[in-house]
Amino acid sequence: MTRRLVLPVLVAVLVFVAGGSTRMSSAAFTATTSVPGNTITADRLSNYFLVTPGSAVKPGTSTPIASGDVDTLTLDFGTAPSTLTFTNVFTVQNVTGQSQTATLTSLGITQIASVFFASSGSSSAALAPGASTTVSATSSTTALGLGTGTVRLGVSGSTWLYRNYATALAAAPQAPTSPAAAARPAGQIDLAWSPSTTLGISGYDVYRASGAGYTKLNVAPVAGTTYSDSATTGGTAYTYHLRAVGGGLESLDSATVGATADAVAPTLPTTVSLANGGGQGSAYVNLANRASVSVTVTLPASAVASDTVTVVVSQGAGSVTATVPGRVGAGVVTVSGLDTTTLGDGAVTLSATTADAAGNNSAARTATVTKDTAAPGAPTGTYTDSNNAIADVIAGTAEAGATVSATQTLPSASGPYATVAAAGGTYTLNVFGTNGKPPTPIAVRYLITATDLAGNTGAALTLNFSDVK
Amino acid sequence: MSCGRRILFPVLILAVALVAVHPVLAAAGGSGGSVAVGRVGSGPVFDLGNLAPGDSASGSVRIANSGSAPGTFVLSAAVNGDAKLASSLVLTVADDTGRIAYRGPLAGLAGEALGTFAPAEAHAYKLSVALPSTAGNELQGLSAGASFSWSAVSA
Repeated sequence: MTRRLVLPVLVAVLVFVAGGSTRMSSAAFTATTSVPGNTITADRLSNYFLVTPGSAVKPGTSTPIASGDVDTLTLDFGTAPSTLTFTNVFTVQNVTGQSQTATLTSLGITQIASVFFASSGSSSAALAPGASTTVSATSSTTALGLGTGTVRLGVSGSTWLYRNYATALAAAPQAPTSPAAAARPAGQIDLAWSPSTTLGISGYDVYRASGAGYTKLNVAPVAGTTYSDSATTGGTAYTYHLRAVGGGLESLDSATVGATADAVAPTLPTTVSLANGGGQGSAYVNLANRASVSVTVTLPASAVASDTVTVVVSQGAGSVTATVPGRVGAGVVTVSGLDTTTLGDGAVTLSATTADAAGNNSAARTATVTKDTAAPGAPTGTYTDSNNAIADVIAGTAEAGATVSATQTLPSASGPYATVAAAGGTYTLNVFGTNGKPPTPIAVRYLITATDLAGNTGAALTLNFSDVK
Repeated sequence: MSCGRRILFPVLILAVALVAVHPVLAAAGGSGGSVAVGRVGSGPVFDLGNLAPGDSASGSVRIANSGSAPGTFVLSAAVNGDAKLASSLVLTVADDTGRIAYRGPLAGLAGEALGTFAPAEAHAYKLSVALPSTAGNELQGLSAGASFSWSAVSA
């Protein structure tokens, strides 16, 4: 009997235990109903606009500036000169069924002066359904160096619906313009250019080539707009270009200019002399020609048309200078109109040099002439009637060496009669023998002048004589 | 005791034990009754697209204890999609008595007690979801989803 009871009790206990376990799990058991499929999606710019990269490329490359789409667009302008406008950077299209106004904002990148829609020319553009416009950007005039920031495309009226597009632009200065190169003496080549329009630049770099490849000549940026290249070899042709420097970046190249170094001076002139000299040997500067002296310069066979001839007439610290074009080959050029009035009387030096296009000057060909503008005084004179001999005589004094000239005006014209005053200044001059008619005298008159070696003629002596013999 | 009586006794004890301890079996036919959750209506509470900061939407669902026994009800949510958006969205659950059962991030709804429903007791729940006006632009275009579950445990 005991055994008979054990089995059911054991089963009952097991079932109870099992039931207890089930109760525990029944406490975790839940009846559940679920409501699935609840979704929330935030609005996005792509619901309004389609953005596609444009055709604008980084300067000097074929790499597009823009890449990505409305959500991921990036703008890398590369190294760009200031005040440069990029057109068609990217395109914005209204993909909604109603008009939308797109807005653009440049944030945190001063190197971009403006970003605007081509259709409106401003930072906002109303787009009809399906309409599109391109976006342009202009680099700054003043902000140099690498700048990073964002360009924001948004929907007008929403402070939230926008995308910030990572943007980078390394702003270089505008290149200088109008470069010019000129050969100078001793092989030096001088450069000059118009400044970059970019403000705040640190200077310019000068590049030179004589064949392939440019080399920067300057160590630090050149502050001004000129540069002299003296490290040249005569006869070598050089080309140059310039770059503005600012913000650690260089501009694009300027236009190229060239010059040939010239270190060889022309051959000096063969002769120099007065062309309109006065006096004896036409070798004097005198009262008559002093205000407009002409000088003849003879050039050698090596003369070229680009040469110039300079004549200097000098005396002590005073000088008069004139320059005229040269000529091709051997020959004469005349320099006229030299006003030597300010120079004193005495020895005067004529100096003639030839300069080539580079400014190399030849040695000077010189000659010395005398300037004498002092007219001799009026001669003295006495008339001696030779009593109807062959000739009457006029004798007196005049400036030594001067040519004394007597011209009869009464009773009839004769002469002139000339002689040279002796070293002591005396002279004697045989003149026409006038026959007097006593008792009525005959009036005889001579005008007597002295002309010095320089050709200056002094005041005239009027010599009257009453010839009764 | 006959052999039949010997067998009948343990079986009787076993039956009594099973009925006493198992609620399902009890609900299914026991005197304690069952708890069941029913919903009036179908489909999601909301399906929101192009939500912008400051926007909100709401929907209602009616939940009933369709069982025969009282049940303790709990609301929970399984959230999927972008966690950043789910954390930014503010969910408010209010019952038809005006009691706010939950207000907080959608992603934070883990298991909110709704109380005990008597058999046949039903309540409407209004679920509102809002994107705060201070939400950042970085949420633009993100999506989040939720499956709301009302669970009941027999009281």
